[in-house]
Amino acid sequence: MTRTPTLTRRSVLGGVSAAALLPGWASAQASGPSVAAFAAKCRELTGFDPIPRALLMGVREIYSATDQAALVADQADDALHASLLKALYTGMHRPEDGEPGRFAYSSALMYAAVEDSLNVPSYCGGLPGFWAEKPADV
Amino acid sequence: MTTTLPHRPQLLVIGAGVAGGLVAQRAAEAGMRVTILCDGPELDRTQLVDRFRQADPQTMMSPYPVVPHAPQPQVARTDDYLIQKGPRPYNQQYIRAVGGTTWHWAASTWRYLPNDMKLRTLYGVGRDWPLDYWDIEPWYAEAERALGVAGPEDAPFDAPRSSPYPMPPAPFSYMDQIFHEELQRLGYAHISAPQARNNQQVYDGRPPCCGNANCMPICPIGAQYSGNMSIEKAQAAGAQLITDAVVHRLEVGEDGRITAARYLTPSREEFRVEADRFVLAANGIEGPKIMLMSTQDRAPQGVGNSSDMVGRNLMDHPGTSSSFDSERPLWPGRGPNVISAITSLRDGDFRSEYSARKMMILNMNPVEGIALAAIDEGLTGDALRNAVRHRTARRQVITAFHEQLPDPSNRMRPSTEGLTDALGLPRPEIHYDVDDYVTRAAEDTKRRVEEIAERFGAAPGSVEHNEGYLPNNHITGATIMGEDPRDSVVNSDCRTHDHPNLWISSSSNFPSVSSVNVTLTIAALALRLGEHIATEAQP
Ligand SMILES: Cc1cc2nc3c(=O)[nH]c(=O)nc-3n(C[C@H](O)[C@H](O)[C@H](O)COP(=O)(O)OP(=O)(O)OC[C@H]3O[C@@H](n4cnc5c(N)ncnc54)[C@H](O)[C@@H]3O)c2cc1C
Ligand code: SF4
Repeated sequence: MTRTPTLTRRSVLGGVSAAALLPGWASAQASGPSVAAFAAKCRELTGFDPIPRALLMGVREIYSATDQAALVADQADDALHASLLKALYTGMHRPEDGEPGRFAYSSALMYAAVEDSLNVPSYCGGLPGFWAEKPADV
Repeated sequence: MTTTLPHRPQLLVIGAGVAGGLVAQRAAEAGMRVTILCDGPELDRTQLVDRFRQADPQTMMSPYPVVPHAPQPQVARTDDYLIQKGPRPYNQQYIRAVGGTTWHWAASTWRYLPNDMKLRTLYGVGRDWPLDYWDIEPWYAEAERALGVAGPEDAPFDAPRSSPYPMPPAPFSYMDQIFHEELQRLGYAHISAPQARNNQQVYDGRPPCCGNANCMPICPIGAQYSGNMSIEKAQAAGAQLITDAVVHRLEVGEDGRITAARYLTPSREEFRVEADRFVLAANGIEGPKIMLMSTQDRAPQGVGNSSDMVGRNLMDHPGTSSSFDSERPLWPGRGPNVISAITSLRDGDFRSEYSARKMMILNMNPVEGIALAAIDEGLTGDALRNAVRHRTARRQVITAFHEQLPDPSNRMRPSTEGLTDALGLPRPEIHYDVDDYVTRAAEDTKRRVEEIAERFGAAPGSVEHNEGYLPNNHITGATIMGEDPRDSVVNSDCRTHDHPNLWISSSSNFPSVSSVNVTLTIAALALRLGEHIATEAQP
């Protein structure tokens, strides 16, 4: 399900560079879809609602306006889908032709997927010895 | 130009890991004037944790700064420093900094079994130690107190002991509990692993482990022992620490005694330190490399090397790792990285034919690999989220350490092709293979894991085994200990046969690698050595 994008003031300021706000600067295509539209697509693809804002803004920085527009318009190829999902799930962007780059760690969705039973490594998991108890899920 | 330092310590320790730290601490506390040389910098735990969290990707080495003058084998590509001549890679990994490699370890602290030290006598293979287990048993107890070990009393295939562990055993995770039940039904001894990690209490000023699940590559709170702690204690007892001092040469005097160590700074300035006594504790590759680089008229084959055994007999625990999906959710990744082990294959008559083994249930969070694979399968939306969760709860990994026998043709030498590091020092060149003694055991291990996996409801044929052997960083054998100076480098006091004032503190001394992690034995011998040197130095 894709929601109709509504351009609130917050999403415009949060997601689009200042240059994009200059009148007549660019078409919607060149500046990419609204944050709301892009967020909705990310929610649909990942199975998470909400998606932490830092994570969302991280991927907004990584993918070009054209790629974002293609994703929102359901015109992205499998490789772009997978790339976006990997970035959102792991907090790391792995471009095919460049060095990987981390933009998030503890907010990565893979940790959210298991958070009731596993702590994010390097963050304290609970009272000493908590691991002897049954995980929440069992 | 070479500058000789104005002060002359009674003891110069080369290397600032657990092996050097404990010798230095013991000697300094006994009143000796001690200087420690370390090739790398001091590290700050908070910065290491920050670097880990920001790293892309997160590997065993990502918390640790790259130090051009003290290159470290990286995890993804150890061959950018170690030169692998094959036929198999010896992909060992270590940290060159104050504290050494125990900054990132599982803190599994096992004693050898008495039989581990008598392989030749009992099983007709390998070599015997020139020491008996009971000669070092009191030092094992000291080492357990120094490192702060939690462990189980009277556990099967844990070594006999004269005193209790300093802390009671760490509790099994839920996953370990379920494994325990099933493994016992299959006839295995499965016990709580002894570990240098605070179990629900403060010990030695360290906080209790609260399950950050990040022991490798960096414990964020210092709940487990790391070598820097012993260095700090040595400094508190008066030892002097010189960092960024890359030792590359030992000088031999007329009487065969070592007179000085030479080191380079990052800007290639050279210094000499003269001392009464020297302990080489620069790990199982860099230490022997320093000896082999020190060729001179009075030591034409290198320091301590009249036997031609320095650099030879390299051993490790060739490792297997097998994964499968259990039917039930067990949730690996809760608590410390390794909590338990299967011990029943540590000893038995089979050792005349094939390796002893310790098998471990890995307790590391597997979610990243699982998420990437699920995305590659094309899953999206709720199906993706649910698959990641379902599989993470069920992905089990069983690893095994296989005992390898000493073979002089497995060797390390300074590059024979003139390949050097940033300081112009030769890089370590390694020839290494794994023989049938291990291969037979590894096949048996895989068969056993498949039987265990079946018990856990894994689909037939679904167990995945690693290719070849995994390294386990237990760098052993290259300054082998023995009674006969013709085929060994150090004697039972860890003193080199060739130089009366040069001792070695390292797993490189070990004549057998056993099937357990080596560091508690390093620590026991280091404390014994510190005491021995301090006693000998008394007027
Ligand atoms: C990922 C990992 C997990 C491990 N887990 C375990 C475990 O659970 N249990 C276990 O028993 N063992 C474990 N080990 C092995 C353990 O870390 C080593 O056995 C131990 O660190 C060896 O201690 P050491 O002091 O001899 O060497 P190191 O800890 O490597 O220290 C060597 C020191 O010498 C210095 N040095 C090196 N070259 C020079 C030079 N040229 N000049 C001056 N200084 C020099 C280094 O900077 C360092 O300070 C693990 C290793 C790794 C990599
Ligand atoms: S589980 Fe956590 S707190 Fe405990 S030793 Fe490992 S990293 Fe440190």
